[in-house]
Amino acid sequence: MPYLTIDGERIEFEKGETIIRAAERNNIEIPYYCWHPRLSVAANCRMCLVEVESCPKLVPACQTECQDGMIVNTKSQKVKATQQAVHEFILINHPIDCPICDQAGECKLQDYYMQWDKTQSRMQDAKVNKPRHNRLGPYIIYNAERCIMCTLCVRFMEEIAGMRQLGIFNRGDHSEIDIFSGQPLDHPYSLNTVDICPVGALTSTVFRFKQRVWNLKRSASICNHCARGCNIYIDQRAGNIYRFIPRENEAVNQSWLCDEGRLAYSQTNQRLAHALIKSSSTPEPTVSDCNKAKQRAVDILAKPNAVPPHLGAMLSLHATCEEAYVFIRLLRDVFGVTKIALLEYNLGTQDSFLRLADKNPNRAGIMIIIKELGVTIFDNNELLNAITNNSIKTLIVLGHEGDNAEVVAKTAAKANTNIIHLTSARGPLSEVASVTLPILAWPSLDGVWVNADLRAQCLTPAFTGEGDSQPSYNWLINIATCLGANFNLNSIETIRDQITQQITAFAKINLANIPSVGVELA
Amino acid sequence: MIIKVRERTKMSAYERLYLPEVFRGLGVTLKHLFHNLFGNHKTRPLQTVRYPEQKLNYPERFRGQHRLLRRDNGSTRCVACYLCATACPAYCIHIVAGEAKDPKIEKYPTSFTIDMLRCIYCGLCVEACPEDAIRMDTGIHTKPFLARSDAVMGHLELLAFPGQKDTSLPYGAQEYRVLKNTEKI
Ligand code: SF4
Ligand code: SF4
Ligand code: SF4
Ligand code: SF4
Ligand code: FES
Repeated sequence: MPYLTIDGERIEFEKGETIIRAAERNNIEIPYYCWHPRLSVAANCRMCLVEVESCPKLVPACQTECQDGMIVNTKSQKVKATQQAVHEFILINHPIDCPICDQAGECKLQDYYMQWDKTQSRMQDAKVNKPRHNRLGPYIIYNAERCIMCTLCVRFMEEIAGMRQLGIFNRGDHSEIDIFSGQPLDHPYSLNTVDICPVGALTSTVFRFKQRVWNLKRSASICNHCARGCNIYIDQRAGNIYRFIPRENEAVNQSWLCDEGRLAYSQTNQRLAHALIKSSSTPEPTVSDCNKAKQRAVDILAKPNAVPPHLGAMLSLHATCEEAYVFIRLLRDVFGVTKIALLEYNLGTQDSFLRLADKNPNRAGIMIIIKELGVTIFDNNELLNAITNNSIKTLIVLGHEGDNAEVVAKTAAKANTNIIHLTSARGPLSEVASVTLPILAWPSLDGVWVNADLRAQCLTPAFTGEGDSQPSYNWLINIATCLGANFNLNSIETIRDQITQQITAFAKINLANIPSVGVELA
Repeated sequence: MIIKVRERTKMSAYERLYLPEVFRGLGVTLKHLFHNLFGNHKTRPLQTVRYPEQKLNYPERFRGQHRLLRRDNGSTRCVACYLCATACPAYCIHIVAGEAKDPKIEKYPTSFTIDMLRCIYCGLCVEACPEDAIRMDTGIHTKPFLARSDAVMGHLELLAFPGQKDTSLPYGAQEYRVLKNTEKI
């Protein structure tokens, strides 16, 4: 195997590997701005210059391929002087906007300046003023003064998005990134340019000025917007989600995320904290004590007409596998329900990159569980008919996510069906439900989703639920116990054990310990 | 780790009797009590001021109540960078940032509050501010409050405090009455 030496460390490499990649593999830090592992090499920022023995000039590490026996030095005096010079050059016209710049706190220019430069500017002339507030598209504002012309955004649009919506205009220190006239930056993946911009030149209109990044807490999660299950980070403060950021996963979304999914965060910020009840005397749902509400649910389910075929069940395709498993088991074993309806979103837009038409993140997982537990699916029209002709008198629903919630709610209201709704947010169903019990929303849940490619991925709780909200299986087990059923699933561990025992597709998976990139179901 | 070795002081037999020392301590307390109750106004150790009829002069470096400053055109100097809120050890500054109409300014605080009941008047917010937008140079007391909510000062209120006599004028806080009436932010 050929090898090279970086800072005295012997590193073996494959032919064609660049110095920056070889260094990265070995945790040797080479600073860079214009390089991105998934984009072509432009080598225009000159931040990654390193010294190669017997080479008269410094070479860009992002572009230079490793050669057998090469001796590279990334920490020498000469390299350090160059890094300083590069910063002095970039900062000639860069404003010190950090107090208002959204990038402050995660800005490479700030970090590298503190790490490698820290010298005064010798520049005497006035800075070149460029447009500071150029709206490039529906979600993107561009500040030309902060731009360091790394062209990452241009290359992203060209190579990943496949649409040349950005270009460099003008020359020298008057150059700017801009759109071609009449063609706004409205590509469905446009917000990725904000992520890869190393400085605060591109900002998202949605996140702009909402929060400083150092106030946000980050946790790994899965996007809930379609069945692709892109890996994300949730950035939140005090239970308020401010943005989704792509999390790298070679097998699912590489380092990207679509705008649609990214902007779905705001829906999750309206969460239900308290139980609601509704009766003939209170036509509007009113907040209730959670024990009282639970008792009400138990009373409804204890009535003689709450047995099949008069008991219906509906399950949202946003539920985790654990939630779905307990829900189906409860209905099957305690009530004998063998037909379950699905609360689902209609097909949406699809493209050849990440977005899938199926907007339900856990359809695959729930389908596996439904099939293996031996229940059948209640067709939507069949369910509506059953409600209308009063053969279903009680309906128990888990989740609020679905386009068919509205029509079910309307039909149920007309037919006076008793609805018990377990949900994390108010929706059309909770407006007509007799009882609504608050459950944890997906960012607060520990659970598993299976994406369209049958990859099981785990959700990790980003924050705790508010008020009386609990995981739905706690409510379900509690209700079952009140009804006198011996429903022996008292913790998430037992639920997971049971799933691995009973569902063959999950048999080989340790549900409690799924790696951050997920595992494929056999 | 630093280890400090101290020798135990030996107590005399009288000290070890314990009770006499207790009474001696009580005696000191009583002496102070009577001095303060009946002593001469000048010499009594406990000095009370009958505020507000009687006021003390503060040392020159007394800072007092915060104020926010304005630009020459009357807009607030604060750019809602949250640095003061980040530096504040008492977590009493709360800012909500918004998009300013003037694209040259971009960001301004739509709401800026200081909870004066939590503030410890440490001045770290002043140190942290990159815009010289917040100062503690008014030399005035924070007023007493009857309700907790009154102690939360908003940015209009903070912009309305005048600075001390010698503080520089250009930042415009001195014309506060005019500006407050026009409610220019
Ligand atoms: S990009 Fe923004 S945060 Fe980074 S140095 Fe420039 S102004 Fe400061
Ligand atoms: S806008 Fe950002 S990503 Fe695009 S060239 Fe400028 S600095 Fe690079
Ligand atoms: S003086 Fe200290 S405690 Fe008071 S607001 Fe400023 S930083 Fe916070
Ligand atoms: S007062 Fe100063 S430090 Fe505080 S937000 Fe405004 S500009 Fe920033
Ligand atoms: S990262 Fe190599 S030149 Fe920019």
